[in-house]
Amino acid sequence: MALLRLEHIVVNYGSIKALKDISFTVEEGEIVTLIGSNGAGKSTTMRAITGLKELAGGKIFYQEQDISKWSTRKKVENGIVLSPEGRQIFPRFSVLENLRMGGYLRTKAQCEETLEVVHQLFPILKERENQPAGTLSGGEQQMLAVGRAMMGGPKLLLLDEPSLGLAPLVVKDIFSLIQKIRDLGTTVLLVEQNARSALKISDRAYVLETGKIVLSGTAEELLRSDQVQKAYLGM
Amino acid sequence: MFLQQLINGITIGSTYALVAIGYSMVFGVLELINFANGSVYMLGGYLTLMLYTGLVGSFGLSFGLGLLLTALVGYTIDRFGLRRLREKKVPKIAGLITTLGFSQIIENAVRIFFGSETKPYPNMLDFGQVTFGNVTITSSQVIILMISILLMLLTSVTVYRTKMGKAMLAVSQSQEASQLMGINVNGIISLTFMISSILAAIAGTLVGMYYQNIDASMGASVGMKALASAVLGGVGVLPGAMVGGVLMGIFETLGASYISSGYRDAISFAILIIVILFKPSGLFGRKQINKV
Repeated sequence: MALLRLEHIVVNYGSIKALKDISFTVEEGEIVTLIGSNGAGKSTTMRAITGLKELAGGKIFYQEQDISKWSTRKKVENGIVLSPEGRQIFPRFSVLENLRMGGYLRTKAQCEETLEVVHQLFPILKERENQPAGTLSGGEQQMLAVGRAMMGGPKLLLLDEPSLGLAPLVVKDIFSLIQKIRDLGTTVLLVEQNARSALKISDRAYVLETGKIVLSGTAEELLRSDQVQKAYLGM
Repeated sequence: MFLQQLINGITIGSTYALVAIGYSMVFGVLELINFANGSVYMLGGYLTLMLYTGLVGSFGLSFGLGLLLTALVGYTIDRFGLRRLREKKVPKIAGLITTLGFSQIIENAVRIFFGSETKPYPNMLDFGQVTFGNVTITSSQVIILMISILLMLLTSVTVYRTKMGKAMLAVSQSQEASQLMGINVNGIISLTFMISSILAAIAGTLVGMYYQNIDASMGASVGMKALASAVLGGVGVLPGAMVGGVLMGIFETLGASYISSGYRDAISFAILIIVILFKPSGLFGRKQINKV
């Protein structure tokens, strides 16, 4: 049974078709990656799944329920949480306030429990808990964005470009943390331009080009595929 | 003389502060100046009076109903005037025109339904006065100040200490991120409009009682002063709006008594311009850390 299934999703920005007919599935416990270049529709797919962008066609199923018309709030309540592109942390809130905001819809006890897990995964967020989030470095802000999404208690964690703009060493950290998060029982859908690192930790992947899925397979298959090597791995 | 004017200034300034909080809150959440806030202040005063003299007969009940109706007006401005603009991602200037429009509509409606002449207002806060030397403090002044302080405390606690307030602060930093946390962003914005309308309506009623008259043009001048107060204190920071309002009241009364009452508005705005020149973010304003 697929945790998430997109069926023929179409999304428009005005007269521009951003997603032309996207279908894919994410199984429970997987890390699935969407790779593709700028403007391929990766972030739009994430926005469509979370309800930030309305669908012009197609259906989204989550645990076999049609959630196409659900509000973002209802999706968050049911465990679909996005760490958005560009991090979008609350700059004037402290690190701790940001994390607590992530648990907005959950009980205090649930938040405290998850907070401990998040602090174990990202010790830096504990060290800096009283610092205004706007003063963190890019890498720390990214960890905060992921930690904040974790605070929502996701069953399905959506990560949009978690490695964007980060130093190579930090990128490595982020990817190993994503693996840890999966090992803790959270399914992960990842959007990345950094195809090689993403594929290395993924189970399966889909390749997006101009709003369409042009290739799919296990991560190993795609790492070996000529097409992917040429277009996304620079070989 | 000075002390007397200071007390008068603090009293009227505390009502400006209530209106200023409304400008500040809405600006904080939407980065939009709600020009209708001054008219809502006037409307609040009128509704209480009209319900009292025309329908209900009990001042307390009229006041309560008046607040409820003004909250509804505040909700309407956002729900039917602004929400659609937000969803369509229309430039902020369009919303500005919308609030200006609502301000005119409210003012005209009051003139049409209640008449444009100045109306006498009953002072329910008059329980006498005390005199120390040449300084007189009336019960109205004490009560107005106490109510204003209480409301400021209540608003501060709501914004900075409750979950709902945290959600407001979150929305003011990023609407999209707030949505992703599961916050009902439109609900929070509606609430902000209702709170700012209620504060303005309470101020309008207090001032009506204090001056014992009310007229439809009072919203425009007080609206400008309260907006100026919010800027003086630092827009988007509640303590700033509060201090700004009280200072504005003090400048104005002192200016009127020591220089000329004809210049009262000019003096307070001159001071405002000077403060902005030297402290552009206002007295309590934060420097921008990060563009949200």
